[in-house]
Amino acid sequence: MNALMLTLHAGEKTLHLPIIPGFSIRELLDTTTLRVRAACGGSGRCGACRVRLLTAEAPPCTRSERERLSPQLRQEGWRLACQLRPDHSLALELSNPAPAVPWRSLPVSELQWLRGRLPSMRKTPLGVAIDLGTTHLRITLWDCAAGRRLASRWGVNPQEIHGSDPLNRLDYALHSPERSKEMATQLRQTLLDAVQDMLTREVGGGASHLPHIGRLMIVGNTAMLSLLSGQGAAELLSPDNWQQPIACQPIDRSAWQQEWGLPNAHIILVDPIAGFIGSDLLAGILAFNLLEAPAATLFLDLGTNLELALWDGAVLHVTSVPGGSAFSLLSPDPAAWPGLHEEVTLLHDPLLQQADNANCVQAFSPAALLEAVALLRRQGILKVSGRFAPSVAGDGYQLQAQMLTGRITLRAVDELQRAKAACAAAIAMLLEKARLHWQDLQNIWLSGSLGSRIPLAAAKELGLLPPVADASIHQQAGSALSGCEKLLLAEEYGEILAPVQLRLSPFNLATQPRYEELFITHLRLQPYAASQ
Amino acid sequence: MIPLHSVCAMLETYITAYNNAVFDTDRDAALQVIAQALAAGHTPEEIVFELVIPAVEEMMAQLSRDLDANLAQHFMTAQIAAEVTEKMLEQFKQPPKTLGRVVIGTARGDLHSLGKRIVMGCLKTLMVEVRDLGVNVPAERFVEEAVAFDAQVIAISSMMVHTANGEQGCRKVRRLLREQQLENRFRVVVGGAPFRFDEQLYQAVGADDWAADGVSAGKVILRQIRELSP
Repeated sequence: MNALMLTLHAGEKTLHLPIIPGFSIRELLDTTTLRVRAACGGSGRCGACRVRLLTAEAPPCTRSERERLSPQLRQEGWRLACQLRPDHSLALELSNPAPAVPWRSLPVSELQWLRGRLPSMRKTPLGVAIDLGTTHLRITLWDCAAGRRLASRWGVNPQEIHGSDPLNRLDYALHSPERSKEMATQLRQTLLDAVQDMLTREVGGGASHLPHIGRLMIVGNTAMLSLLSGQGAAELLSPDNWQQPIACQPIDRSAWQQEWGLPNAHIILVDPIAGFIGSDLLAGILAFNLLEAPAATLFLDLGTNLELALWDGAVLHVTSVPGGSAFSLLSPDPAAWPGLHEEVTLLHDPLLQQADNANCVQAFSPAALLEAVALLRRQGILKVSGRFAPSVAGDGYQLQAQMLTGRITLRAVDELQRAKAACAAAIAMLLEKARLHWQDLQNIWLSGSLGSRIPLAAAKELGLLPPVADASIHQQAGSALSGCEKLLLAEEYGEILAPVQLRLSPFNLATQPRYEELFITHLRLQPYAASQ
Repeated sequence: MIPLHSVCAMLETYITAYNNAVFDTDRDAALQVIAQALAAGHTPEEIVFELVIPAVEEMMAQLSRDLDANLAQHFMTAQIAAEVTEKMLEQFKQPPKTLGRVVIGTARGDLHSLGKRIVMGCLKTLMVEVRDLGVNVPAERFVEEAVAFDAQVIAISSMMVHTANGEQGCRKVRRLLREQQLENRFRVVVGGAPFRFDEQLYQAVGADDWAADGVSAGKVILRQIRELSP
């Protein structure tokens, strides 16, 4: 059966988007860069989200549409995007889109259903949960008193311009107090923009609602928390501190309240665990209830920074290693990478793709790269060493993922080898520390921008993951944000954190020569067990 | 008796097979080639000087031409060569002549030792004595150990910008050498990713030379030793 498709014409732009049954046009477009205007949270009250139908078949108008749109407008095909929930493929015209902003709604797959409400926050009911990632920021707005998620946003971390590697950003910030302040202010301003965007579109009234925000909960990896608060960068760059917590708390919280225009907000930065092991891992552990999982459960948060936790039934062994550029997902929106792993198909000879070919993109999502490399291995085109077979000429192999055509270069393979070796070696080290073998693993929970959509067969073939049965591997996106939301909705968030913190045993792999040996053996593109 | 040209041809075959194995990061296959060469009657001295060292030199040239050579290949080249050399040296009739001495470590604040291990592997194979100072090495220790070891070269590895360009790494080593009037006695060679991104950085931090990767570092260090002690 063909998927239902939405075709949207907006000026010179045309967008094709899969329709998710039950979702409104507005909700579908909120995950893209082409958004409708909005000011009422999708209730149909403001009437700002008008779109015109270009196809005949569509569900009938709702009461809100009949109230907001004259019979003549309805006759001409005008509808409200927040009310129109298509059950057929259709084409629309959007003549007056919302001004472009760097924010989009998170895909529903990244949001977990959560129960919890805080009647004590009736006077200042709004709450904000923030996951500070190296590449992306994820934010949700809550009515905490009612226990209802009002909106979500994700966008690119503006500090990307100072390097995709957190170390480069820390180094840049340490250059001078002015730079550090500039980076922190830029990030805080970006977060405020996202909050205001949600308030404007989902609550109506924008900045006038800022005083209604009673709580703001922030988790993130240590480097990002440090760059947000302007504290701890120097300590973080010194290996002497990598086994202990790094203080990333703002010196003057009231100054933040003033800067953000949040006079009533309790601003909470959840402390990182130790060194580069951030509070995003802590939040992920909470999201998955790792302490209640069977012993020998492994949790991997796979992204630019790899964070790992192994629960052995008594102790939570946690660590962190850099994943590098191969694991930096360019977009958390699956629609931005059509097909991803399922649709990667090798093209026929000639093998070389011209780099200047306009249709050729060099970058693929990490999942597509994994799938493609596994496919090249299966076909004997790529050797276990990460080199092409002698029959392959040139420095790249062309492949296609649905509409995208790209080139897998040896450099991309090398980066993938490094990232997967870092992950596999870290898993092996944690298992050794807990005196466990990969065969003992009961469950693997995967999260993070890559973990939630990693192609399992390819990951196992290439040795990124131990050969655990698929049924024991669980993938869930947005665990750090979910854990942060749990803390946001807790009357005493410290009481939720304390039991986890008591069981934590941080492990700094940088000081372990054995990690380096395992890293080298795991560079080979072969199953995990063969590299042990 | 096998004619000389046949011996050479046979060694060529072994060198090719050995290089192919190393290029494929296949340690077992590489060691098998060495075992075959030994079984065919080649002496440990021949294995090292006529097989392993030419192979390393060929790999250095090959990897410097091949910008897409991966980390595993660099590591295997050095690791296997060092392993074989170490084993063969134990069986040498006379200890070989040392070409020079090097102290090596990662800069203060840097725990990345992989690059350093690659350099050490290559240097050992090239008959350079190496004193490994480990990771996170203070500048003072680089200088003290270089004096104590009577080294010609101080090799400093930095994988992060702040350790490559910071005040506690090569810059401080240079300052100490200047203050202690030791600049004519030692050459300072740096390596690591930050020096690849900024090819002028090595001069800015006061180094005499730099290497783009671990394997070519062996060649650069050897050149500096030869310039200092012709």
